[in-house]
Amino acid sequence: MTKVTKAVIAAAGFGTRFLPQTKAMPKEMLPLIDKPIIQYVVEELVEAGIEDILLQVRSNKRPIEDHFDLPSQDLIANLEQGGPKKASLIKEVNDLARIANFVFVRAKAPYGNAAPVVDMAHLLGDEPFIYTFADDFFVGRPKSRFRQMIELHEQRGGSVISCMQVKHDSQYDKYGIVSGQQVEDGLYKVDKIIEKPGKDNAPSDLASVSSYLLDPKLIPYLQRAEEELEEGEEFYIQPAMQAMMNDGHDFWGLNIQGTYYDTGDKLEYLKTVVDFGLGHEELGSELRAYMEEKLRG
Amino acid sequence: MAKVTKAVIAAAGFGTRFLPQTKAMPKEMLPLIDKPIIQYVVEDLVEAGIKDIIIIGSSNKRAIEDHFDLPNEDLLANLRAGGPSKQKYIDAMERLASMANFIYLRQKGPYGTATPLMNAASLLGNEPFIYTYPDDLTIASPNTFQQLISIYEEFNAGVDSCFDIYEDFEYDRYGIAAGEEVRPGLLRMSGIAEKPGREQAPSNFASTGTRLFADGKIFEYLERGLQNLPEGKEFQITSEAVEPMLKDGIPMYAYSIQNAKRYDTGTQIEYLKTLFSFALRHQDLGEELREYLRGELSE
Repeated sequence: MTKVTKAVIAAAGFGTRFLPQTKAMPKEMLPLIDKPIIQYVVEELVEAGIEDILLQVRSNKRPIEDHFDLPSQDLIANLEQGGPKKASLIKEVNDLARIANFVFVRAKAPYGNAAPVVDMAHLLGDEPFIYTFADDFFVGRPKSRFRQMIELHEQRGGSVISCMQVKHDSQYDKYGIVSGQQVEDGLYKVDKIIEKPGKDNAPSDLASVSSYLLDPKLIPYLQRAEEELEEGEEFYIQPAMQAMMNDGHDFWGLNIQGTYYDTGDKLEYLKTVVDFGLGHEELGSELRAYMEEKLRG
Repeated sequence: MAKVTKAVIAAAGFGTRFLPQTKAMPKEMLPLIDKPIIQYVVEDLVEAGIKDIIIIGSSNKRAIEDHFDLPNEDLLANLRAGGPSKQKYIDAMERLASMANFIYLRQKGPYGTATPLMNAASLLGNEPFIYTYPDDLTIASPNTFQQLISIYEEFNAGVDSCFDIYEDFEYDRYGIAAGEEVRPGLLRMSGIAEKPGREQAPSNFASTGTRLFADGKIFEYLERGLQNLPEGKEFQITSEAVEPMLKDGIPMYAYSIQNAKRYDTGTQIEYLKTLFSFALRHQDLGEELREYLRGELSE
């Protein structure tokens, strides 16, 4: 079986929910404590064995390219002046450039969540690949989310949809819910994804979020869908996946073991910062004390 | 008396305390909810009547220039496609570009607080101006700069923006103003004691570094200071200009900003505290976040 070594990250969105903050900086660069959100996604991919990271970007995303580049020599000179206590930072900012092959492609296909895959088609060839967003992610336990997906793919082949177990009824109105046959605890063979079905019509309690591991056979389906797209219509990945399911290709809905973090709007982003802040080795206890006092006050 | 219409913001630092986050983005662009830190400072300056904002940056600070620029057409097209609910964002972003004259300079010269100011000398001439740092975020009513300007207008002299300190360790951390009390909260300065410790402290007025200078005299002092600066020594405003000016009898006041809450954003922990402090008071998000925090903290 072909090893999964490529990942596509969709990073061309405008981040309008965070305006004006994101007027001149990419939403993927919003910080979680001391690292931008996208770095968590990249590090999780690298840990799972991904070597080529293909990012779909646009003109205002330059800070992402610079972040995963070698650091500027001005910064290094400044850190060197800071003496031995800054030495680990020099290593850290240098290493970031080398943890993967970073490839940046400008967004061209029609707007929608299918576009990044089509824009990368010439780089993906005939290998299975991960396709992920960079405004939500999982902290998988005990293994990372991408490891869980890759291991399932290695056991059963086919494509994998990362899923979160629905916790609040309102989430049935927000996410696509997988429908199909439950093959084991937390694993469905998917025959359909039903968009925002509401609780009463929900076929399962697993919501499709954040990422996919995709069979490259999806690419021609997407290219056909693009040709048939009406003027002004958004280009979604789900119809092409549905067509593939209908043709008998396997899609697995996997309940990822771990915690799902959404950073796609201001409130969810702040909640995520709370969790990461409280869990932080050096800052956690001081931050906890501060917040307890704030809540009393 | 000349009106204060110019301000200088020092924004050339590397932000290494926030690495790797700040490897490719300026620390001044770190968000507090939905606005970068520097925008809070700029908005206060504009509210205080400042027309020309001179930002001293470096090669990695382009995001600041873009932030206070007209929004790019791609973003506008995306927002327009989002319909009427997005119009408020378009308005807010256009306002951002037009609220002041933004002028960017690259920092050149020795390390120290005086260098950004020297770089702006040719733009400031003999006019009064404010010098500030985005790390020093003080929310006050009237705002910090308005209060500084009203003291300047009362005394026709420079003003050092201060806050009262009470804890022992704070006397080891800040420059403390010395001078004669004019009235509560206001000193006519005679000097500044750098980190004197509680025992030696001449007052409990800690200087934030934000200052209003009444005219261009400071540049004569800085020029001289720079010429005589020993190799490897930092080029500091306090030692090279403020102290010699006071010694020569040029009046300057230390003013403790009233109705103020000071927020530090210079280290990770202080930045996070500031973020949550702002978030809990946020009109739309505060309540739900408070509830979430209660749950998280009780776990």
